[in-house]
Amino acid sequence: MQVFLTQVLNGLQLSMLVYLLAAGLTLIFGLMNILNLAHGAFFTLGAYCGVAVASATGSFWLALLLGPLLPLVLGAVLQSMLLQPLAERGRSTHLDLALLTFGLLFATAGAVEWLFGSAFLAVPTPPALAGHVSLLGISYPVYRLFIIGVGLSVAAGLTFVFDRTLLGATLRAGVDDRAMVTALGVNINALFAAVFGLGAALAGLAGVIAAPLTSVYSQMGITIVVETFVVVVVGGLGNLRGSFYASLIVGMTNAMSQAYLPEVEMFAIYALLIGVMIVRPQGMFRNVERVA
Amino acid sequence: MKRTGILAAAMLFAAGAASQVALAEDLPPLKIGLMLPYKGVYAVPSEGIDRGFQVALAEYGNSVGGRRVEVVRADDELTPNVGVQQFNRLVQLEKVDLVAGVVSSSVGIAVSGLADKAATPLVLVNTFADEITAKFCSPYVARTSFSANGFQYNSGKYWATHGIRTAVIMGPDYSAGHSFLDAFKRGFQEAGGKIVQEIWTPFQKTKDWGAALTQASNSGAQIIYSFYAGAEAVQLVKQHADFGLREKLPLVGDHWIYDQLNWSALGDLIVGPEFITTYLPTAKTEANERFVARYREMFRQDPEVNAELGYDNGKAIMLTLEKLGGRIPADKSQFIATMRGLVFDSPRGKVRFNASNSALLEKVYVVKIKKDPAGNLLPTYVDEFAGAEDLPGCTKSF
Amino acid sequence: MSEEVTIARTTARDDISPAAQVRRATFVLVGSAVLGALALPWLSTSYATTLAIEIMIAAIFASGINLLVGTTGLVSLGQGMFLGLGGYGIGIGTTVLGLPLWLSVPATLVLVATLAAAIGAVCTRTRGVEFLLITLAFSQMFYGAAIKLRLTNGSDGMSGIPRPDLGLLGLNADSPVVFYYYILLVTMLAVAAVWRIAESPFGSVLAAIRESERRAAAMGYAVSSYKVGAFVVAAVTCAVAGILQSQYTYFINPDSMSWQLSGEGVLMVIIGSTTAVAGPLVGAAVFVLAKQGLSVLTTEYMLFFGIFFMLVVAFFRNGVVEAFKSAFRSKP
Repeated sequence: MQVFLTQVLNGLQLSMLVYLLAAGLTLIFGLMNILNLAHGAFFTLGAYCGVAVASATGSFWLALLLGPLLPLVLGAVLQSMLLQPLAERGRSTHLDLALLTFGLLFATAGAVEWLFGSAFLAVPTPPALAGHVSLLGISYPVYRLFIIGVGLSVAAGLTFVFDRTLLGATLRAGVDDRAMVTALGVNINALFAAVFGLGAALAGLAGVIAAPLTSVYSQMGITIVVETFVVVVVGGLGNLRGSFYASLIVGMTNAMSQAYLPEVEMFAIYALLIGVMIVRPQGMFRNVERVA
Repeated sequence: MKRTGILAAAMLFAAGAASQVALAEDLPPLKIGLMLPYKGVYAVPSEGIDRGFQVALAEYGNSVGGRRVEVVRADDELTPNVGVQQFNRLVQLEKVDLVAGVVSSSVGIAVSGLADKAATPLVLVNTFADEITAKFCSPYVARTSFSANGFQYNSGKYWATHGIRTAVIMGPDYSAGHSFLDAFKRGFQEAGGKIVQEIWTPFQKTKDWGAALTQASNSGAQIIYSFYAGAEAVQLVKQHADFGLREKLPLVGDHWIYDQLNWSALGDLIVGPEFITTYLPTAKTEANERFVARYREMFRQDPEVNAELGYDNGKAIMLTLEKLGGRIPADKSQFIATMRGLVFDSPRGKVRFNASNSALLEKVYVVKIKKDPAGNLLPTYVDEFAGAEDLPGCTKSF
Repeated sequence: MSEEVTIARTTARDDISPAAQVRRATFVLVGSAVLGALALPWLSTSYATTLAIEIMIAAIFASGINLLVGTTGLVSLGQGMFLGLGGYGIGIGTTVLGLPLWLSVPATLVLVATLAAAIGAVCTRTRGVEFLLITLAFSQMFYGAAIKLRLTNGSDGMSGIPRPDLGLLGLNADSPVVFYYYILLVTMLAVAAVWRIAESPFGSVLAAIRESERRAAAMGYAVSSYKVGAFVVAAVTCAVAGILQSQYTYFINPDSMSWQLSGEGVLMVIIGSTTAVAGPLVGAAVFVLAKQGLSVLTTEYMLFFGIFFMLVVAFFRNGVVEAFKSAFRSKP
């Protein structure tokens, strides 16, 4: 029972980390039809920015604030200066853009390695969040609870923006019918750049908060991006709420298989993905969104 | 008095070498390929090994028998396929006389097969898996460190006879992890201990030990006995503390779990736990003091276990070359055979080789790290025991 | 090189159609490439022979991918799984089951074909980026299985994979030169076979599917069977590359199934151009040599791989071979 409870928390913590990446990725796909394989690069960049800020100022909180800024700017620039022009020139299908971002993912890992070296950088847990607490008969690291908290807050915030604000309405409309939104006079390019930047910033935020837990290394984004894709596809491409549920499913599948069926640990989530693609190629939660 | 003796011996030797110089001058430099995983999870220990290797060569002024010694570096990326490519590049393109280094046992197994077929001497630095010098032994391959069994078998006996009755073993799921922990398990069980659970995490893929630690803490064992190195070791030690297991379920292991090169990343977590090591930087032997002094001079810091292993690798090669007068014999297996005959004082103790070209461990130390009032971290001697023999399994004779 | 150009110019004067010119030039090029390849071990260093072996294995791999990407228009990021399955197939056959190599190889290829038919039936229901993702998922699944399974010896991989026993011919395949000719022979057969398939009526249907799946279906072709067929042929070709790769290194481990490796294969195809037969060969040669050249210059392979990939995709979409062809076409 203790193992089960701890694994539920571990699964939740992993879910939230992946969700932060999946939220941006799924919006970018839904809105711009770009499969951004380089999304993991922003995770890496956020983490390294966090490290740089934390070691310069000694403050994790400052790192948390500043770390996502670079991904925000780079994400917006990438979309508006490179991907958008290529897409508009018509030469590149969205498959080409996917391959382009595949190259970008590896180029970023290489660039980071070139700048920071290949050693794994350990980031100290901020003192306020160090140690562990006892709850329900188990002791659990405070920092991991913090990650769960951040993930849930972002999810709540995004849901609010998406469901209750004008920006959210525009986004939802954009996912459903891009031409209609343009016709309504929305500057679609600015909207694209903003969403791309925000998605990148969320990935960067995930990178900063993952740093004290898993340490920081050049290929961290390549590892996590594949899991993110599983989430995005299971949740339905372009479906924000679906991605949240899918993160939970993927996180829990991972955590439970690690504890109870270690033989399938590196296998389970891909089997899940394939199952979903066979039975419901449009994603598990597509209908929920359509009804709403 | 002793110093003068050495000096005199060195001068005599230099005179002897000088008489060969005229002969050897026309010979091109000796080329040694040094293959290490300079990137990735083992990047930090590799850097240590490289430095130790340089110290050994510098001791000879980077020349032997009047021939200059050049090092050509290659990165095996901890991947056997890349290791094979790099080995071919070193041997066929760079035309190295021998290949040194190699950390991962997986890469070691792949390239030792090649060395055997290409008849090129391969002097391995780490690659602790027992089968490297047993099932896969070759007249062209030697290992200058020790085997997993040599290091860990008696460790199992030691802990079982020092109050530990039950243990969980936890390690990376690849050949070195299995070799080390299986050796521990054999010794531990033979001395009456009980392994309650075995937890294997995917090598190079695991970043979160939450599940593994949860299971271990639920097993009711007294300790976790573990082998990890590089980045994985930092993760495990930190997360072990995060889950509040330092008192309840101590993490016991070796000098890679608590690698000196990771101390800055671990902070105060390094103070307290007992672990085993093959090298004590404070040992008061002549070989060690000379090594420490030269290392400090070259790198402005203290050596640690990885540097020492790199030093032994370079030292064994230089001693062998010296014996052969700076020439690689036409039958290149004679290079390794000459190395097998060496006995020398290394910073870690006396080094000798067994019949299948594997160096043996004279002794293993149990240490813990203490912090002095000034905040310096000091490895402190607790106990020691002898290294074990290698596992049998080499069916070739050479 | 100049010789070919002269010949091409002469034919131009003879007023032959541009397509025939290209064919003639290609023929001469291929002919001299084959002659050069045959003589290579006698002309150059042993390291050049080693590199040539790596290029040829990569070329088979790229040919397999090209049948999907170039001919059929399905971009897969999971072909590494079949490369790995080929290596693991003969690894398990020879070292675990103790079967002879001549039995392990066909058994492996039959198994891969069967498996590919099943996987292909699932994957080809999707298209575009979804196809890319589902092939990636399948390869990650096999990758995970190879790491976790005892049978495949986990992340250590399997060693001691045998090369063919050529004792009957009085040859030893452990010798680099003998092994080179063995690889050369298999490469020529494999590339020729893939070329024949792409040029066959079957291949024309695949090309029709690439241009417009709906139109091909409207013409009465059972589109899905054709796509599965292409998937199977591509998989078997990649498995052949995997078998050779594992024999070359005497070794197979899960890294052969990584998505980076699959990506490298796609890159070779794009470099070479997706429509030309010689494309994968040229792409493989450019890629292996560039990688080799880079590793001498710098250790930051990943950075240059990434940038190279982006440049090729963004600006050089039609590849080296198409550039060569259009250079001839534009001649007056």
